[in-house]
Amino acid sequence: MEISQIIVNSLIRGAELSLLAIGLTMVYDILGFANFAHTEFAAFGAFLGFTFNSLLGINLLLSVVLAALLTGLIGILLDLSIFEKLRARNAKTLTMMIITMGMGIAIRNISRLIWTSSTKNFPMPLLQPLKILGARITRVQLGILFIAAISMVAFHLLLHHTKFGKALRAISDNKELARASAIDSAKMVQWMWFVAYSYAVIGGTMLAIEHLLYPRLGFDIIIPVFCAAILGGIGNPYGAVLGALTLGFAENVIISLDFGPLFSLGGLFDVGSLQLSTGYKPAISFMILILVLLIKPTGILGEN
Amino acid sequence: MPIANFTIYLFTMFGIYALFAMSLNLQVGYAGLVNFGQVAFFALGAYTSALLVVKAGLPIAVGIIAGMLASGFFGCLLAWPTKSLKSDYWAITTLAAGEVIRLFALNEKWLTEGPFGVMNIPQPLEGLIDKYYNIFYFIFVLIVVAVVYMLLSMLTDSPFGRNLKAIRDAEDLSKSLGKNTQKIKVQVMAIGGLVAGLAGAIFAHYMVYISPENFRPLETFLIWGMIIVGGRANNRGAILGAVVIQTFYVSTRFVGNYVPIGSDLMSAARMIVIGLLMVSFLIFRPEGLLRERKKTYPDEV
Amino acid sequence: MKKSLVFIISVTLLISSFMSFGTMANEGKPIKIGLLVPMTGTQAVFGQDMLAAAKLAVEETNEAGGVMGRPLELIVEDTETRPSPGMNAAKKLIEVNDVPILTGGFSSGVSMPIAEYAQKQGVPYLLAVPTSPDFRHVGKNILSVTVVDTFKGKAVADFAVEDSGKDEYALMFMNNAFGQKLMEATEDSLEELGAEVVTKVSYELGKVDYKAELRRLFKNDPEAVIGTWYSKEGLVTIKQAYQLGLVNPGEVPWYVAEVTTSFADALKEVPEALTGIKGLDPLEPKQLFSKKFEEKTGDKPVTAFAAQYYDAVRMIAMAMNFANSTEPEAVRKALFNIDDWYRGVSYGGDKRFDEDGMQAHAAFRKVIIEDGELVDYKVD
Repeated sequence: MEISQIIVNSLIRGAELSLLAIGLTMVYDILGFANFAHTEFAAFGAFLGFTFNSLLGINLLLSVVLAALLTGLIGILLDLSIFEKLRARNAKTLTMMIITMGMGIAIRNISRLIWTSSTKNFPMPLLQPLKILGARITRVQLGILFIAAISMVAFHLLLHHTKFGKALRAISDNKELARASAIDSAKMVQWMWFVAYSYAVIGGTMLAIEHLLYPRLGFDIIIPVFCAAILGGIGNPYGAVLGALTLGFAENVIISLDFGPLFSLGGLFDVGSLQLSTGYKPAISFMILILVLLIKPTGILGEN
Repeated sequence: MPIANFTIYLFTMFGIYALFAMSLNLQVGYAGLVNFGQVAFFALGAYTSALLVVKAGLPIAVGIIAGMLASGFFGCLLAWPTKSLKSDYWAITTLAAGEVIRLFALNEKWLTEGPFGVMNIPQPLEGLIDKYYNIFYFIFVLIVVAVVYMLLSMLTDSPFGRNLKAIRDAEDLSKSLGKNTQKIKVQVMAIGGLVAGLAGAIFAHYMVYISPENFRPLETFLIWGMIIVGGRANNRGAILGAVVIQTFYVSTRFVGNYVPIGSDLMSAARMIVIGLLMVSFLIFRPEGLLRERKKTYPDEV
Repeated sequence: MKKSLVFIISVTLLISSFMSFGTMANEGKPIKIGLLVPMTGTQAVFGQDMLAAAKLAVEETNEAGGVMGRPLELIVEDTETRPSPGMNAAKKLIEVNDVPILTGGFSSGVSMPIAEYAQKQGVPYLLAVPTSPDFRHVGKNILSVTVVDTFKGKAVADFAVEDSGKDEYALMFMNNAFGQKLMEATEDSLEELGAEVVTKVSYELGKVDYKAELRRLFKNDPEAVIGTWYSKEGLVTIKQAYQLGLVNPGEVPWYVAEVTTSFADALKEVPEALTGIKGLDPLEPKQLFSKKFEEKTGDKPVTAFAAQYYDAVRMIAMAMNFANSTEPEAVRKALFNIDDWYRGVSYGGDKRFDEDGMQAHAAFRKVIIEDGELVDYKVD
């Protein structure tokens, strides 16, 4: 397969994963626990967007924005009703993490209850792909790349040019100091949930548009999203983006590599072509995860 | 008495799930190691025993012991890269490992028969006991549960158990007291693996047939529900949780016969209940139905 | 300890009360048969359809006088497309509801342990959908309304070779018991016909991205593709293949072992991508069943599986009437005698069993997809 096609496929995969990984890494950074419900909310939000778009006939972009806002609000509500109380009680981060797992199971099945397990397909025209430098890419995929790029820029601006962003970075750098300098951290945390879930919904909807939408979507991408966040250095949003792109490339390259020549020892043995069975595709992110944990657990951009 | 048979079947499954839940409870409840892929250990125990007995023709007892060892060894292996890391890493690594084991069982047909599953798994003493085989197996499971319960209680009441709780409650402190916390973590994963492997092997020889479909992540979530509801760091809690969750799960099947609700809705509804039970127990009654026994240690006072 | 003891006792009481409820209901007038359907899990999409067909069969049976003058009733249990809940379902049907016969099922992997168990219990199980050749050897109580995979694999290989005349084939089948057996059978038949299999791809069910699988499929430049899918996987595959520019049936023809099963969703969502794809469809040619089904439910049957469930229920009802008994062994024997009287609606309608209780005959309709419709196709 052409290298240009690998690059295109990897970019798309990376773009989708990075919007999901940003929120995950942010919550971990500020609150100190891994949110196992994160991708479930992405799928839930994508369902909301699908409902607005195809059942109520609202314009697609507007539907996604609405769904993202709504899911962000749910994030705030859950923080107010659950996590804030637990923080006040000084509950262990371990407890919080298990709660998110339970929450994830509940959300996934609430989606199933409302929208059933049958798959949904965003009503997109099916077009023949465009050819760019030998790589095939559809208009929808170009749109996905474009929106992902805009979202990243917006996130960067948010982090560096707003009060929220500055406060968030301050909290991230030093929680004690931030508290002392009168930053309203409770409010910042709520905003953070809002941003994390809104971004997750955009990422989730992009995945659903490119592929399909179904209740288990969130669970199916949880491992790659975590892997991307850890690979880039958990707690660092830029690392999350970098990790997602790296993972996208690794997945596509490993699956298309032919290990045959490697094992034939320069033509000594004829082993034919040796490729990783596509059945193991989901295991690639796991292998990368283990490698990262063995070599550099803090990830590419993480501090030691 | 067909109904009696069904009841015995349910109770045998309670026993198998109780073993499975106790294995997770040791890791989570006592040592604070969050394992979201416990089904991998169950699967390894089941496959190792089934394949050794069916394909290599070894005696069932050897198969079961090998299943335990394989699963315990996998525990060590998995603990190795993560032993110095925080619990979040354990959680995601184990979750992923659970899926990898299932993928392996699904893709390596030469070894595991892939999607066809392993058929005609022999049962212990099946020729000798005929009519009351169900009852025999139930009693067998009951004895295993009792023995494992006693052994685990001895373990958790020993100094080793105290070390575990120390890691759970304050890892840095126990490190500074000179405890080798990493070694202890690896040991816990191994022991938890042994017990889960035992549960898996007993399951395989009871069901007579296993396939990768038996070992989806859903099973892990169910036993998480069991230990959260039953009570962490309490083996009786784990057993009680297994009974409660399993009863709830099976009884929805009976409810479905009398209440006009589609199975898909019913299945979604029962997982919502299990998820919400986990969340609400952790918020309102974190200790579960049965509280952890706070034992005072005279030698430490 | 006391607390848990009290709890265990109350649980036991609760379960037994449920069960006595079950037995009381059993003493009513209707004759019950046990139906195993995947209503949840990976294949839930087909469950509704198959259940509706089984209900249609019950309704028609009862309109025609029922079974031995008594109404027929289905006890429906969900297998969740997983072996353990499937086993729970079968055990409940046999041990609690005391049904004389089981039918339904979907995935061979789920039905295999159930078949072994039913065989031991002496309860016949008339498989409606599972097609693994291994069922042949489970025992006399295991029967089937449809042909096993070896038969289907040969049918699609014959069609492909005869129609295209190509020599190099790429195969794409799902990684479950059904798909793997079918792939084996297809490969064997192709080789017998002198053709070569250049690539084999097994895909995992329930994934949303098959780009890597598709690239693998076309890696060795096959001259034709043979495959089969379930509806969700079929939709993803065809969408992505189309977007990768891999669907050109004019140059590289596609043959699908079960068209309706594979493209139930794709026919609705992306019909334009399917144009020119050929395959086999086991529904009866005149589509009487489809019309009946549509009148009843408002929708066409999604797949031929619905017809198979319909056949299974009608055949059981007829066998009970023939035997004038609901005694399991009598019903099983009577099933072998109905083929002169019953004309089925799936696989050509001939429902003759061979000595192992499997189906010996099947006819497929050859179709080509044009504008999202299945059109009868004739090999020149």
